[in-house]
Amino acid sequence: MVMNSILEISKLSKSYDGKVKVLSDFNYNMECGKICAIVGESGSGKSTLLRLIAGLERPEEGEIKIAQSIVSDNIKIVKPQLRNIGFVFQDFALFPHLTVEQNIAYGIKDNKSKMINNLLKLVKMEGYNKSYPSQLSGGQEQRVALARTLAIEPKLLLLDEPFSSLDIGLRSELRKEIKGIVNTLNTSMIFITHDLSDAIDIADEIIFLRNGKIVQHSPISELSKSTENEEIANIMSELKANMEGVLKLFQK
Amino acid sequence: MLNKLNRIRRDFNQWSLFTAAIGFFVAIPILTITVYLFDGVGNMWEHIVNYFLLQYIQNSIVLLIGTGILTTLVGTSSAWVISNYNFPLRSVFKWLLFLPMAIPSYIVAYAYVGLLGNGGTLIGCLQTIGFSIQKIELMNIYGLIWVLSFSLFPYVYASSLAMFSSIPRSIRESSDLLGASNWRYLKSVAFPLASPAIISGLFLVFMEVLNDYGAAKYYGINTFTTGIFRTWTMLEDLQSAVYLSALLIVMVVIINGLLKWQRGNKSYAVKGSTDQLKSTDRIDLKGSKRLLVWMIVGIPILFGLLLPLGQLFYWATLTYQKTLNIELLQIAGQSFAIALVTTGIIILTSLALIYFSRWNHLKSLHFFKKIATIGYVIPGAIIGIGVIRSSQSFITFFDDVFSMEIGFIFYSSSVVLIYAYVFRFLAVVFHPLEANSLKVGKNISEASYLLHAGKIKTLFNIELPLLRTALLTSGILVFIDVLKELPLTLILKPYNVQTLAVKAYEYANDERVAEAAIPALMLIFTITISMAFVSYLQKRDQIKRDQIKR
Repeated sequence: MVMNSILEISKLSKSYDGKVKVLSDFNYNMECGKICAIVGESGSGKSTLLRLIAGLERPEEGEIKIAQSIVSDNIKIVKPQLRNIGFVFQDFALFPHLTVEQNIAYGIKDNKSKMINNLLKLVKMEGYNKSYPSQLSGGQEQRVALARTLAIEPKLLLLDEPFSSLDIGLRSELRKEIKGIVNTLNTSMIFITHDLSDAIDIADEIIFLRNGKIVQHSPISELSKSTENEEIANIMSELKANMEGVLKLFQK
Repeated sequence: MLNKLNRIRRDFNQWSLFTAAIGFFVAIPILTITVYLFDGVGNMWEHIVNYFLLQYIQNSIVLLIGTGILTTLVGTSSAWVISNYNFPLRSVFKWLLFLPMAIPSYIVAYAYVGLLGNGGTLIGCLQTIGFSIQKIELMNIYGLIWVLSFSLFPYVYASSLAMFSSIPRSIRESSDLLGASNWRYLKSVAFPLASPAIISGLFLVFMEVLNDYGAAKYYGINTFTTGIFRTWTMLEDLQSAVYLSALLIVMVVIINGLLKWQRGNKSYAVKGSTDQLKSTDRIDLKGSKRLLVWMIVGIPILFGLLLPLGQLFYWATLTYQKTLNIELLQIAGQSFAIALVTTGIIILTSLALIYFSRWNHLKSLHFFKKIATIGYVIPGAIIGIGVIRSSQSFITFFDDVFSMEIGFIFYSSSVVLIYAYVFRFLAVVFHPLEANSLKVGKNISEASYLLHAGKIKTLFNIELPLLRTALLTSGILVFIDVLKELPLTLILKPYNVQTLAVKAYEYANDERVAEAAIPALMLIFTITISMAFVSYLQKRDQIKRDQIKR
């Protein structure tokens, strides 16, 4: 057991309708304050893994601990609302009938207005308090979703393909901002991405996932060694990623 | 094995229990019929088999085939014309074609006898202009097919219109660019694409035909539903009525199977552009073609709406002094009160079933959702028998075990009637609400949970506000259904309760058919206003969605 670990997963398995195995015998430990990127093809189990950690899905086997407390095993399941986990969905899942301010205030108990203003400042969305989600661009929705998640001061942040709907310029800007926020708040984060440049830019470690199993788990600094792994090469080819390009980016 | 048991214990919660309890409670009538089948046949069964059963089967099949052909012809042709051509008064016709749905088919049946029977209004008009016609014999199975078809075709019209109008513009343009004629496009592209929707509409028509009691009884046609009533009330053999009900359920299952087989895997999802046909894409018609199109949309409106409505207004002018009184207003009040209470209970039950089953983590319990919502495909007479049988058992149980006589609670109040309505119409609210809640997306609810909100807070602050339009729309539709329902109300209403539908039926049954006009018109007026409100809500919703898209 890692003493300062924020997340410990052992022997986690999940299948849908008892047939399709999405995750099998998954083991992972994460230290506090780290950022982990998960890379894999569609259907490799990435989103299911995040949903299991958040308590939105129920595993068949295995154990999940968050901050040294068991939140899921064969006997008990701690409800999502009691895990203190922040989750940013791929489609952001902003409440369409609430304003930006009301969305952010939703999870806050005390000092609402002060905290809302701080968060809007943090995600650079001041002045949008009264706007509705339908009036925002993709990037702005992303920022509001992040602010709303941070409002509950989560122990662990989970982001499901947070940059996928953004253009290149905005993507790079938001990556930096998110890394800054995570460092400032001294929290931990796991995010899913299809783009290795996202991982290289902000992650401390990377997990390659295939058919529900870890192909490789390494610090980001050792990513260049991954090119020799045939399975990773396959994943990269599925994701249409140019390995040489990635390596250049990495060296830069 | 131990792990599996542990997981079941882990995943079982109070919502699992509530889901099972609600599903079971709502489905008691149908479960009761199943249980009573094991009691053996009733003493009149042999008589029924020898003299009536074949007639019930034959008549029901002829009615289904006849109305099936006529409603498909009328419903799809008018939907095609409305969705593809521009002609004067098109939008008026588009709306009028829905309105026959507002007139219960038994009332259309009465009106037609007033129009075409001996000394009928239309016959009188024809005689005035020189025709030597005495009457048109309508009180036979063909007359019943005619009446039911022109009353029920809007089900096919509505579903095929929605499908024809949703075919993307690019599909139509591809067909044009490949040199296909309008007829070829209809035959090879539009009709096959719309066929699953047409079949869904047809299934609703079939269910209404099998549920019909008032029209068939008035025209003297022996069907399963009239047979169930006769066996129970005249032959006083409830057990044989249960057996007839079981046979009718078998018929429903066969129809459902046949339609599913016919539909096969034809659930087409049209990919690509969602840009639908606009008014400028519709073909402008002139001359004789315009006349033909007017006939196609005018005939169903004339026979399904204007003629019956005209006859009802004529009767109303003759009888209003006699029938429009305080008593009728009280009956209207009772009708609306029962429909409103039922609507409220159905909405609450639907919400409970949708959300409790979602909050429960045992997927096997979703079975209870299915049995609780099966009532819409079961004719009212069967549900009536099931409810009577189960409440009898309940009363006997209380009497035997607790020496309590609770029969008066069941038979002197509307509790049993409302309970039966809930089973019959739960699906009308449940399915649209469930579909809309899925459309909202589970991420929205999950986001709320992850922001430390519990299930109840999420339900009231997030889920229900997003379902507001769907709640209102489905609530109004079920309100209309309850107001119109005749067989169930006839079987289960307490002696001191009266509804507009039953009052109209009783007048017609007592050979005072003209006096049925005022209650019938009150019913039609309420239903029309409610339908207009639903249409307004749906339009408002569409405008909102378009604004968000932009």
